[in-house]
Amino acid sequence: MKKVEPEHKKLITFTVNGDDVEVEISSSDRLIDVLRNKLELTGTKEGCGIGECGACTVLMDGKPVNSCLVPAFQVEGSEIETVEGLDKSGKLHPLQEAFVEHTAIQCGFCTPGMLMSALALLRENPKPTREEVARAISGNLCRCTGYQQIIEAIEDAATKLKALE
Amino acid sequence: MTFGFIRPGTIREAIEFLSEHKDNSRIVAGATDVMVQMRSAKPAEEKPLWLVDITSIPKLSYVNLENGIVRIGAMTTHRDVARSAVIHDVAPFLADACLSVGSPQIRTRGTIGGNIVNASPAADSLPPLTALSARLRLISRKGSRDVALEEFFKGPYKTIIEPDEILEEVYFQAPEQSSCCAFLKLGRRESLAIARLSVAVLLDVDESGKISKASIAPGACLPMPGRITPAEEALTGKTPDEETVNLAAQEVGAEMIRVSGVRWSTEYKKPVACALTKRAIWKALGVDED
Repeated sequence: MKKVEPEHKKLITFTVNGDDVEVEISSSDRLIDVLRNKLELTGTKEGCGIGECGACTVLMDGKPVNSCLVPAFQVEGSEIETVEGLDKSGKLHPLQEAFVEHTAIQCGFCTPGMLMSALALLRENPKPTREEVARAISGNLCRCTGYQQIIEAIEDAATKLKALE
Repeated sequence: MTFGFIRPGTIREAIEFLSEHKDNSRIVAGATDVMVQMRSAKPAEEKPLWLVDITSIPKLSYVNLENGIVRIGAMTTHRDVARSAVIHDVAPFLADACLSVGSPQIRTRGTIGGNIVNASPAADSLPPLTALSARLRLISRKGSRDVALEEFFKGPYKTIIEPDEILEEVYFQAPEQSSCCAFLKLGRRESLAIARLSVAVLLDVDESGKISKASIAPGACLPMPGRITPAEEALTGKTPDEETVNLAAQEVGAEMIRVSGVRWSTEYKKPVACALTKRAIWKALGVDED
């Protein structure tokens, strides 16, 4: 049997927004550290650092996670999606357009995480009810908007995405 | 604190490592608790800590029903328990409890095994698992042992698990088809709220409409998970009416004070524990009290 030895640093490979990346991580790195500091993808924000605010939400294998709570060593081989992957060659994603149209952004700090939670929802459930939208963003705090504009933007984006099909 | 990690591919690799490094190893699964604890830990510990990452062991994530026994692998996330067709069918209150954990992001990562071993008195999965008389399978190099969930806890955040053991699965007898159940939780808000009080109720009602079996397990008001026998006795053999249900609910409040004593929160918690229990019993019986 192979004996496993503990590691402090490791070269790991995974994909970010569809691109293969290879990064040297240390045992104390979190996914958010790798994204922001090593890959310079600073769209993902760190708010509370303890999984309470959802500002750092990214998708890991298609599911929403708090990137501040994911040890980098667990990211090996996974597919990560961040807000930087939403727009395609300069054109905003329908979710992003809807956020702009509905003034669902004020200070903007929660927006990247909000968008990623919304994206995970709409992929799984293209016609969510208002209640389902609210549940999907229940792990994302926004201290500016009062949520109504965000919920309306996600509902609107759902309709527009449906029309695109 | 300096720490390193290992990512074993099998349970065997993990337990071999744990048996050699049991004094300074810590198992990490969904990491939702461990990451927060590690980052707030004081630096300058004398020994490095090894994180044993069991997410690399795919075999620990499953929910299945075989010969009337439901088995949930320790690595199964709250998201997967909450979405499991088996759990919805046999113990929907466990699905409700797992759906009330944290937020969608936390449920993607947090595991049922972590919820059990972390042993918070407010852990959401523990009241339904206690009401189901769940058992745990622990594994180490010496072999495996099975313990009743209720015997697993020594106090808040304290369990009998040895440092070289891994929780492999939690399992329970699927309740009778005629049974009904409910889980209710009160937090400061709906999401990302630690339970201030919760209660799980599992009842079996016979053909004559009498309660033949009752299991009542509250959360966040006892130092560790447990059933409230006097409340269960108040219901057993009775046709549920307002008086019987109220009496059972009173027993939960009384037991909370017997075990946890009168605390600053008692003035609030006692009537709320009674009301929540009452509501959960009626909800299990299909009566919407509101």
